[in-house]
Amino acid sequence: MHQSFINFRHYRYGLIAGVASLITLVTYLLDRPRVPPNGGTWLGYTLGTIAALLVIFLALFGIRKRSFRSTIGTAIGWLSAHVYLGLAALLIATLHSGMHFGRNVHTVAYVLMCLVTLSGCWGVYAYVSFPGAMMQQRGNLRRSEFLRQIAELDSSSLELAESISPQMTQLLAEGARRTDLGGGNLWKQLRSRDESTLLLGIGSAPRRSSLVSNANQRALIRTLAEIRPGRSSSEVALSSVQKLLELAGSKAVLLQRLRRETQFAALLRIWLFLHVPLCCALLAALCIHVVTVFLYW
Amino acid sequence: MLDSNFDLVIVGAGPGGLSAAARAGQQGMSHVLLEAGGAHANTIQQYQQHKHVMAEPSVLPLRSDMEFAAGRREAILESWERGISRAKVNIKYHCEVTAIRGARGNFEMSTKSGVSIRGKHIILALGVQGHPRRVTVPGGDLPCVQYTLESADALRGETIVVVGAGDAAIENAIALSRSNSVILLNRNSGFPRAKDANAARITRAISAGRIKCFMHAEVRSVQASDARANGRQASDNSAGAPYRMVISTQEGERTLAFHRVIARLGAIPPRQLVESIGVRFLSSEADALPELSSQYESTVPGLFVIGALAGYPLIKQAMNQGFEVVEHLLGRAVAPADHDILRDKFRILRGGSDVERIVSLIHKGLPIFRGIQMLALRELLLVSRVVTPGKRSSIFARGDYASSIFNVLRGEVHLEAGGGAPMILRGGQLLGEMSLISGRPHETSALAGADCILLETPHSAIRKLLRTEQSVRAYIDTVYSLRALRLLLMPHASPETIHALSKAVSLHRFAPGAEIFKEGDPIERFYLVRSGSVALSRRTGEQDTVVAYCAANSFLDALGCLSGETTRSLNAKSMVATEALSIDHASFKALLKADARLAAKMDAERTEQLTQYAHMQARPKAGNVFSYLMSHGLGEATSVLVIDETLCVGCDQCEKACAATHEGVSRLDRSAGPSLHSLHLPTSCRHCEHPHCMRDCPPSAIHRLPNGEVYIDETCIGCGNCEENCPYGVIQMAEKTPKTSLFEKLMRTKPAETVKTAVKCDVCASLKGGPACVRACPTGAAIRIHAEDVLELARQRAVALE
Amino acid sequence: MLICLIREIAGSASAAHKQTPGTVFKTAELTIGSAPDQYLQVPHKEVDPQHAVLRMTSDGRLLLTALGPRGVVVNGHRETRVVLYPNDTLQLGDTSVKVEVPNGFGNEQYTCLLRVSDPYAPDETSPAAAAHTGMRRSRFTISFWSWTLTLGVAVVFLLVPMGTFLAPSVRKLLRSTPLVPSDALWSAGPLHATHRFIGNDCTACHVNAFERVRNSECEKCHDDVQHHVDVRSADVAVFDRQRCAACHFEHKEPATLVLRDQRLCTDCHARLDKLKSDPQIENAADFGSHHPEFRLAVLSRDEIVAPGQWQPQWLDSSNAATFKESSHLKFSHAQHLNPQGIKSPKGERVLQCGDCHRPNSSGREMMPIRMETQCSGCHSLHFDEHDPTSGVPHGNLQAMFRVLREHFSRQYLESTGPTMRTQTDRLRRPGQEARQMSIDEQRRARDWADTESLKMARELLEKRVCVDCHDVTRVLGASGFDQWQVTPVRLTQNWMPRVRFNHAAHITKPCTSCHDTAERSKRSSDILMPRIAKCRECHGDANDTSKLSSDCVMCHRFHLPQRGRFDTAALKARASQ
Repeated sequence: MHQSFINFRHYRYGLIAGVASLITLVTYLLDRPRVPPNGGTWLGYTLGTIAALLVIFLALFGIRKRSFRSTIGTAIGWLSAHVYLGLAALLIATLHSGMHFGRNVHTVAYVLMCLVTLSGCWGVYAYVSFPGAMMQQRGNLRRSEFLRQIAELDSSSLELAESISPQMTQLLAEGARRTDLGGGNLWKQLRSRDESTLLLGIGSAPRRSSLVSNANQRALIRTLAEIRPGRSSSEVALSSVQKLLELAGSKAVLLQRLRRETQFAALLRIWLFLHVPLCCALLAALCIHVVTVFLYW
Repeated sequence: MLDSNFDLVIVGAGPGGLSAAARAGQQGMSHVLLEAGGAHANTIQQYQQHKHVMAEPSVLPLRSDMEFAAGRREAILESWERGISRAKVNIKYHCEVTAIRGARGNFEMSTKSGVSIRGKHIILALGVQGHPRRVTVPGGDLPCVQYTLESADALRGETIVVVGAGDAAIENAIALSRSNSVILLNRNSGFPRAKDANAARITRAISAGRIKCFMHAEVRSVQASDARANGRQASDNSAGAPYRMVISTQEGERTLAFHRVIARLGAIPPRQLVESIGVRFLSSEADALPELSSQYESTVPGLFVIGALAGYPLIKQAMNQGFEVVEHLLGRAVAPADHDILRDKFRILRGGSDVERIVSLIHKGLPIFRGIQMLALRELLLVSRVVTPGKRSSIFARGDYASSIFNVLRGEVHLEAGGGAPMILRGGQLLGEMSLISGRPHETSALAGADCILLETPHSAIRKLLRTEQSVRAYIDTVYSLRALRLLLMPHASPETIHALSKAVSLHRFAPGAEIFKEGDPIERFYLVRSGSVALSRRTGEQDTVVAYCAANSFLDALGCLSGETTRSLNAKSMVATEALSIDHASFKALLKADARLAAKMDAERTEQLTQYAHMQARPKAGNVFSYLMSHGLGEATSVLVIDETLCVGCDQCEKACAATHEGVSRLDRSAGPSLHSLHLPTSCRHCEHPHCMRDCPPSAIHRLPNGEVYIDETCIGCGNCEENCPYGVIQMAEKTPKTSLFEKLMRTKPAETVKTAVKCDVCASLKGGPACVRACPTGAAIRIHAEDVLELARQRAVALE
Repeated sequence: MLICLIREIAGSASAAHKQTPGTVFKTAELTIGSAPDQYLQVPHKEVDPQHAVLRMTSDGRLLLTALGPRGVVVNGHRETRVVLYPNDTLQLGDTSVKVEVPNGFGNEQYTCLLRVSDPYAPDETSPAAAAHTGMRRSRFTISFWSWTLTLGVAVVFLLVPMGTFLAPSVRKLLRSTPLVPSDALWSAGPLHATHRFIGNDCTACHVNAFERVRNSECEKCHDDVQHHVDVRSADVAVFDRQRCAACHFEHKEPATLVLRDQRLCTDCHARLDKLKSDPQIENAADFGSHHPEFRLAVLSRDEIVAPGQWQPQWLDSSNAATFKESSHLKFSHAQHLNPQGIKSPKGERVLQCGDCHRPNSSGREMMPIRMETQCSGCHSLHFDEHDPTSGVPHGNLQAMFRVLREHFSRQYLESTGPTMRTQTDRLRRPGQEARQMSIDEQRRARDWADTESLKMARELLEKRVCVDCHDVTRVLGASGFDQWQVTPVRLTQNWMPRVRFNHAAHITKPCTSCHDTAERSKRSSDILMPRIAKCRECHGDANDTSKLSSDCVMCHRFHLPQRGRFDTAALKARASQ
């Protein structure tokens, strides 16, 4: 019932693109132009026109994607066509070029096209394989569920801490506040480094407060583990500390999974930062290519 | 105090009461309007600020000396305020009637404050909201005890005691807990009255310590705090709080110091008062209506009931009624307000101008309506339509989702099922009842005969009737079993056989999750599912494996009944509220023996089921997925969004598409909702076969299209009933900003007032090409499926998992 | 500086917390922001990661400095730098920070006491706020990059190069400065080596924008290019719209200055009969299959039309009757190439083709055959076998007669001949005194010599030497030495004047593989040029892969000599008429 954009309508657009590529390739191989194959022959102009129209069609996906009221096909159909025809377009453009490259705008347009296709291929790979991988690692939990569970752990910890001491409460409250959940800008999401911090020495007079890294809740766990019985805590408090340690441990695991989830989500988006801008640049280069080819005919 | 004597005593200064009093005042009639609260139109006063109030039904003309048009709450209240003084309304506030005695011409009312009032006639315009149940302990009348919460944001840093365990109490408590410390007093141990979502939220908040909750707690007394003088320090941060209360818990009494009490204890319905006078109600059910004449006179002569209590929850209706009753009392003949509308409806009938005659003809001629009150019938007719389909034209087609039922007024209708001769329906018979009951598409096609006139009534109106009118229910049940037996079981049998058989049929109702039978039970009955859905499972090893799914209009375990076994080999469990017909097994077997064609038909059914069982049993995982999907309401779904998480890249195109096509408010929340085995059910309407949301919609703004879509039209008044009723939490109350034109934006005229209305997925009814969410999904993760596809989806998922 | 932060936690009911010291810092400055590494962290979207910093001035006042453009909100006013006094309230999102008089807890004395009150519990807000994936807040969005790249491409590849249109100075600057984009970026490919001197001056050829390169630009350099047909003929109209660039392509790789594709020729030549053209030239579509038989330009003398003049005459090999060369040379290739050998002064000798036919220095053609070099080795012009020095010169009858007369005159004087002994007069012997010949004697001697010479001449011309190779005729009515005439030999040197044939390119093959009739040819009128079938044994169609693929340009040229200038202006003028 579910159909991926890869096998949409039994690979309809894959077949169309394949047949189109084959026809183009055969035509190219059979064609015997009076000049060595290049964009200026009859076939070259034809292939160039086809490739340019394809590029425009591919770029239109960006518009179609946003025009939600449009009834021209469905987004999945468009994406399927986008993927397969994009690959075909690269082949057609390659044949259009007749493999002539140089230090000029024409080659720049071609290279941009290659990069756009390449980033698109990465995107296809990401779209095909990452959602499944994300599923694997997060199970049936949703992102909000992670956040809720972490919040629950935090509030349970706080509740326990309140029974121990005000200092403990402040320590844990600050710890919860300063937890890095993997958000931030795209680079941070991709790097997925735990930048949590912990304020140590809260409220205890001789020691001054200091800010230390609390990656994977290590600092918190260590601080809790350092608490000795008899000094400041009663028998009851010690068992609470034990419980706090358990909570901190579970939180570390949850945080790690959440960060991985965030990282995957970022990976699913990062390629668009290449694909779309390069595509826009390609459109510009393509226009310049067409104009200048005829400017100095 | 002086006992006063009036021609007319009006109880309740709501829209109906105000309208009646205004008419009486205008006409110089001696009257008094008694209001229990301190202001007129209490319910509207309690609306949130700037709420837009609708004037529905828009077709009905307003007959009142009070002004009323759709607009802001404030504007309406203000116009009524002016109306009260203009029409010289004699209004008495804080005058709660506690008892009524006497008879026409000499009624006597005692009020709470001890005043007794006499009147010749009484109009009860009480509304159904009734009065909030009050805290009746000593100190319950202190100003710190509130029954409403205007704005949770206005309060900060207080200690607030919330009393109650319903939705209102929970929502208030959670909203307040953000910047106040909240103590919740619950008379019971859990939150059974609350919606699931609310119960979960409050449980979380309590376990997280954000809200303190006392179970089995009751307020004993409330008093202003002399804490210091008393010497007993309160146990927490409420030191210095101005009030204290004593509560009883299971552990004994406790004292709480607080700033404020919000008591949300529900309301006392006014029915008791009304019944105590001797007014008869149509049934004993909680929401049944009083018996009324066409002049809204109850079974107690001289006592009139109008407004919501009479079954007319809309403001305009109530105002009209108030006016009409006073006119009636003044001895003027008043044609009901709907007279002109009905006349228009009946225009195509011969002699249609005589509305009363036609109404009574319909009343007598249609057995379904024979048992109901004239007034209720008129109301029904107001939403019905008289249609004259041409000969051989289609009334409905097999496979269409129904939204109305039809009564044949004249001529004939041919009902065509898959096989056999068409069933011919003549004047007085109804059609479309199977769809009404199952919530599923029509099993038959209906074609109009020559000179056919039909009365088309929307489902919502009929459902309302079904709830209140036993006779209608019984009639439809009978018709259903006759038709179902014929269409689904024995299309070839004679009417007599069917009729005889229908006597042996009994009707069963099962709650969601109820066990219909289990493995090892003796086979006693042969079931036909009438509505809802049933899952059949078999125990393999430790767990139950779902092997089949029976939707409405299918046979339950035909296999077992035919196999010759004496005990069931399957468990049957209803997935949603389910109704089933049954024949006892012995007579079913006799029937099989006697009817070779039936035997052949059932044999084919048996093969079908056996094949399906085998497929499902081989994939226990499919059963898991199936149960999961079913447990989230897919059993009654017509079109539900299912996201395959192995394909979903989280681009939120579905939400963006939804928002873009629905005034910027997304009606689905992709990331919310449950998921299992990478099948995710986002918070989005399921378009249930029997939409829960339609159950209680005052303006009947929720409709179902022929393709099964459930949508809310623009007549929504924003009451929030549907939001409450939806078990899947997919309806939201959204502020709808009317579109401003570019010119208006340029001129910077003040933005149009926002209106809060219920919004939900409408499967993009207005859009060609289907739901935008599915069409906008670039990876194919989002699809919409029907309840019937659930099994196939589960099977495919199981294959993918292996 | 010692700062004490007291953080009130919403939701926790314990009032006692409010009275205990909170977080205590000994720091020169207290950093405030939403990032986790700030001392006072307030996760809120209105708070920057590094929002503000609180310092103690030297005179002991608290100075709050905003780090972001939003400033800080103190007591409801937005400030960038502000001194805080007790009871001032700093608003950070939903969190408010109040400066209080430090009265000390326990033994500690604080310089500053800040009471921080959050409306929300930490477990409620922080996850949502911190997990905010804030790409949208960044300036570097997808659309930012899109615009940047698009505009960048437009500037580098269009706008800056378009500066070349502005003014010659700008053009020169752009084109000559390395790494600066100029219209060279629009070049489709490198120029051919011969044109590379033009450099990157596009407008040298591309004069008008959006117009294809005109012939006039080519003619600026190539001003003496000849036409394909005679410019005076009517056929020239066919070429009126012909662009140089149709055959001479530039900027294409591999650099091909002359296009070899034979369709450029066969477009016309395959249907030449349909174009108004010289009817003598037949259609040719492809060498291997559609090419007329060779026609040879054989030198001949039409005595009626042009007496005494040798003109090349086109002979068609298909007409055997006329396919003869009339060079007036008697020569048998068969005899000379006798594999058994031929008699020579040095004995029997087997001759090879190359013994006579030697290529010229280019190797393209053969050097002319000359009697003196190629024949005289065997064909000696000696007429007296007793006198090794005797010999007549070749090529000039008068000279021959002179030599003969000389010879016989000397013989007489030396009186060695028998005829002389019968005479009474003796000639002077060595050592003897010379005897003066008498006039009579002199006349007798001259007569003798003349008679003998004439006798010898007849023998040479008619019987022995000259007649072997040459046509010798008697002139009627003439006598003496004037009675003989030797028809001059004119061998056809250039058989195919319109074709570029290179013998050197065929050197790997023996001569007889093409000129195979030579070994059998007994008459010099036989034309030993191979026919087209011979060529086709090796040369095939232009796209024939089994043979040597041969296009038109392999043998033919477009610009033919003596046709007149390929003048575009004239063509245009005609075309416009």
